[in-house]
Amino acid sequence: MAAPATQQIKIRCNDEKEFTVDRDVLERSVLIKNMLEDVTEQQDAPIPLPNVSGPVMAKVLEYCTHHRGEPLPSADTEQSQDETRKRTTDISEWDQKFITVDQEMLFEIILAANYLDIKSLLDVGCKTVANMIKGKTPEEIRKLFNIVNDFTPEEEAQIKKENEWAEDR
Amino acid sequence: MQEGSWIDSDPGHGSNIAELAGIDARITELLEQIRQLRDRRNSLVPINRLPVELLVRIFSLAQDLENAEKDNFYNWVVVTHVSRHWRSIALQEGSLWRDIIYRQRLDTQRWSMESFHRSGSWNLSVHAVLRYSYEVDMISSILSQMHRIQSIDCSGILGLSKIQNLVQQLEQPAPLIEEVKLRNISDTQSISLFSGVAPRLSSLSLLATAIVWDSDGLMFHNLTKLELSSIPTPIRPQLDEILNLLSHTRHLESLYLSGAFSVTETSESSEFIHLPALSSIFIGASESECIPLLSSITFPASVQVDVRLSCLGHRNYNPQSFFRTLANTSSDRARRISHLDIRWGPYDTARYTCWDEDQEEQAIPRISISVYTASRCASKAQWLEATQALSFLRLRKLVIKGSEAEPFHVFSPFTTSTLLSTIITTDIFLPGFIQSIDDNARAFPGLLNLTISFSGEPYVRNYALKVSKKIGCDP
Repeated sequence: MAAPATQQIKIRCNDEKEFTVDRDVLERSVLIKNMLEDVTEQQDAPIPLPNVSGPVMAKVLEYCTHHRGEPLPSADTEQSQDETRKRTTDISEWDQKFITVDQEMLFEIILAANYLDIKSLLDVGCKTVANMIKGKTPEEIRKLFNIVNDFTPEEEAQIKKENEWAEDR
Repeated sequence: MQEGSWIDSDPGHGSNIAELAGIDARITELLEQIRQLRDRRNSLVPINRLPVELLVRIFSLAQDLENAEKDNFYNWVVVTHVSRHWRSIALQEGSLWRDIIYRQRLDTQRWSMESFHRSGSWNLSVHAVLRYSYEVDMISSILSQMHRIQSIDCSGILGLSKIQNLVQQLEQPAPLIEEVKLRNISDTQSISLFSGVAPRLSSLSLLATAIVWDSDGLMFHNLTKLELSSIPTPIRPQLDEILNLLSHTRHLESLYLSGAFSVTETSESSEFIHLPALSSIFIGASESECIPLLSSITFPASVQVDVRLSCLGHRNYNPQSFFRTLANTSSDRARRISHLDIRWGPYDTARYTCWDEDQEEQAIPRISISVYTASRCASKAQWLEATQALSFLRLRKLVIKGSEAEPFHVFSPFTTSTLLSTIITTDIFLPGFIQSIDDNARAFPGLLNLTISFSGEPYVRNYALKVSKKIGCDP
């Protein structure tokens, strides 16, 4: 007997780009999963995703397809990890390769993961940015993220003092 | 002419001063406009499109990454020196400041206090290494907020002045405390830890620190990990007190007791204490302490038992009676033991790890026993006598490791036909040793493999460091 066909779901991005995707892939997104569970009847109309563009969604779907079938982290696990600070900062090899994109795309992926509620992808994005910050001076971080120094003279004085603490090792 | 008097001598100085003031005001205004433009510019860069909660998440991960590196505590605070936006977010987020890490470094002293102030009302984790009395005062002031302390990892040195201030804080109720690790805090007086009020306590580790043991046990109901070691003799609890504590720990998963309790002749338990959740137990004690404890507790058969038998002061200690008692105490399990691992440590230690015969070859060790003696282990004759008590073990595999000059003494008793392989590791190279082992090993009819490894001592490096031999017949 043939296996039951996987249900296909249509989504529409904010640039009108449409994707037709297997339901289990899309359900990596808790937002979409909840939407699908709320809909009792089969719908042909695409699910609108007004906060995600087509190119970003394509990347997100690449991630979801690779990780399809993996267990979703429960809200309890998340909370407990945050409380106990027992998070891991490791990123798998595939995820590292996947997230090696330009900054514009990196932050768009993080925003999309946040909006679509894909915890594992959000983690990969945030860990990547944290790794970029690690070991750098403030000036190096500014340069990396195209930020300029906008501190007031008073704030500069306080920061100078804090930097002097760091020199007292 | 006096300094600054040129202004007074200038007939038009009144208008100049006004103009200077005007220019200064204009500069300030322009600088502020530039700052605002910089601020606005920063808001447009991609990373700052992330909402505050995501930037907080990133800062928190950056903190984890830095803290994972040795001595990088507080390096993560660079994020507060990047821009006004980032600084404002980080300073307003108390959760980023809840780890108070204090080491013997001026920067950690300053940052730990700053962290404490910036943490707002968040739960705190305090990690401190104390060497001086002023440090005790500082950490005591943080622990004065015991109502929001979630974990304490505090290490001191015995006899530190003002430690009473810290002890006083440790005697406050701790409604949120989950993990406690105290080392060398108090060797003269028992601490009435949290006055017995710590309903969320799940992990307690004490080294050279004693607490009041006659508690009603409420504090230990959620304990999953208990480690007590090197408790000073005058305030060391009696076995009864430890057993009473254990009777309240239904969720205990890991138990580590080393130099943790005393036994008097009256220390006899009438009933077994069942520890259903236990997965590992380590006991470092003398034979007279170890036996009554092991005889008083029951636990699942899968528990890994590690016993380090302390026989210091007994030069010719003979563990025969211990082996016998162990065999009697846990006869059901012992009869099924078929693999024995004996390790001779650099301080005349021997370690036995036994596997259950019913398990697969790569089974998890079930019971391991280490024997510490004051000097070289007993004579060959005594060892033979001692190890005969282990004859109930139908050995199929024997591993001997360590620095004992003649480990062969130890495995001589196991000359049974079921002994299939032997691994010997020693730190000391002795001329003729290999030959001795080789000759004797041939007397083992079932022996298939003999591996001898030399390691450790620098002077042996000129010799072959690893010798592997294959001896005997086919299986």
